[in-house]
Amino acid sequence: MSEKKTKKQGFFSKMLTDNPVFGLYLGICSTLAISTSINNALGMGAGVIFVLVLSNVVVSLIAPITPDDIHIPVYIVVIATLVTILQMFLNAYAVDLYTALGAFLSLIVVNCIILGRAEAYACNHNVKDSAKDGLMMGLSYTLSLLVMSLIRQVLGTGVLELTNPFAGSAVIFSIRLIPEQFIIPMFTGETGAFFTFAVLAALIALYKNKLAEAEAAAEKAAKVAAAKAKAAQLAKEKAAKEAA
Amino acid sequence: MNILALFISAMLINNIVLTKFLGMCPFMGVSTHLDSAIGMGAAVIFVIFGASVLSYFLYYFVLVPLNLEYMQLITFILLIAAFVQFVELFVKKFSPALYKQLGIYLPLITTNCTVLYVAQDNITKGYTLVETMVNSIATPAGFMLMLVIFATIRERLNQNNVPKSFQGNPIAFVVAGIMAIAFSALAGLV
Amino acid sequence: MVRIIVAVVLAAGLFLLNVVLLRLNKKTPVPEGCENLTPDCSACGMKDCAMRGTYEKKKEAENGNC
Repeated sequence: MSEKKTKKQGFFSKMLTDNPVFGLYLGICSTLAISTSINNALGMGAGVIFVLVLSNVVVSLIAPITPDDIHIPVYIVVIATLVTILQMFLNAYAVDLYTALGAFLSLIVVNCIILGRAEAYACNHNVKDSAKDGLMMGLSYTLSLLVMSLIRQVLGTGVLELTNPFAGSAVIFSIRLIPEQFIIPMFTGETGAFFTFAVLAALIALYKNKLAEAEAAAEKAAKVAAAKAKAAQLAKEKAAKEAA
Repeated sequence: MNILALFISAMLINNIVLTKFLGMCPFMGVSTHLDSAIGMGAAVIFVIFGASVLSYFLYYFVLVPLNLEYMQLITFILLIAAFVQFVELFVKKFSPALYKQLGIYLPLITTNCTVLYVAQDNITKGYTLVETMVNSIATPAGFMLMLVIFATIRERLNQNNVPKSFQGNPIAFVVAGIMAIAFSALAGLV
Repeated sequence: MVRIIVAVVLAAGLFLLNVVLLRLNKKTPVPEGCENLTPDCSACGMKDCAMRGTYEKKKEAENGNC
């Protein structure tokens, strides 16, 4: 994305087109697998934000002293350490969340968003910008997870439920939105994950296409206007010459 | 557990792409051509088998005796990265023909979630060495099967009229969803 | 205390092994006829992390035409 375009785009619009999950197709594996309930989505999102912000900070600090050819193993060690800390924390204080996220917690290490941001952004920006970038990317990842899990949980179980993982899964709120006989259990399964993702990605693509079209139209209009102005200028000059 | 049952379950019933959603990135990227699907699949089988067996030894002969199980994640990811480098080096030096076939896929595998997942899965499920070997051939074989099926479907898909916003990856996810329905019918196999 | 030292040594050892293999790998020349092998970019879902950096740079350089 060029500088000019990012400046023109609003925050929300940028969050849609530059969305790491539906726009850039990063971190798809965990999005598809974890988005079965908003509980898991929020837990995973918070975990990814934690790892992403800290890894961006650490990477931006050590990037100047890291030899260029070994940067990947260095970053991997940093990220793996952070993920291990996160795992230990969740295992100690939120066992239910820990078991629900399961293998996907350790797979944060190979989540493309984190290594990708370290390589593309944090390694050549300062600490403050890197932390901000990590937070932004983490938030839009969480938002994508949340949207997807909302759709899947509501259509698949009919119930919107949030529990507190730190207090033995005490229910915070639980609302039945769809009567039991009308739910579509497929949405909690694998097929539902794929379909929901496809539709959301297509919506983002549609929005991107619209933006591109609008931009092309604006460019065309600008060109026409410029041509018209030039013609008018020429006519004026010609008239001036004739008068002379 | 019966070895054959384990093989079928890891390859077809609990297919890593369709039930665990792992390895989606190469699944979406590489799978437009049959050749590259087969190349990638072969490279993944080889790397996962080697990395899993090495991780098994690392875990049961180094980490467990030293009481360092909490180092599992860091050591495994480093081991996998080192192993991939070693394979690339080896193939470059001793088999240029093979390198021509698989070389470009090897660097793609280091950060592929499937490798780390299978290595850790063998440990969490407490598999023996033989079971580990079977599981780490069957799982990537299922991955390769998916890549090949998907490549052929995508070749057809390219000739069809797909709505503009569904072109590319979104339609691929729809296809994957339909394939998940088809594969869920295999659940009664074992 | 000893356990911590052993853990650090183990991680450092694996890390060094990684670095050595990486350097050796970089040094080994690519076999003849394979110099121009690049992942097929028409499918540009080449989004695996190891490739991502180069992919994005290339995309930027070519102004979006992969």
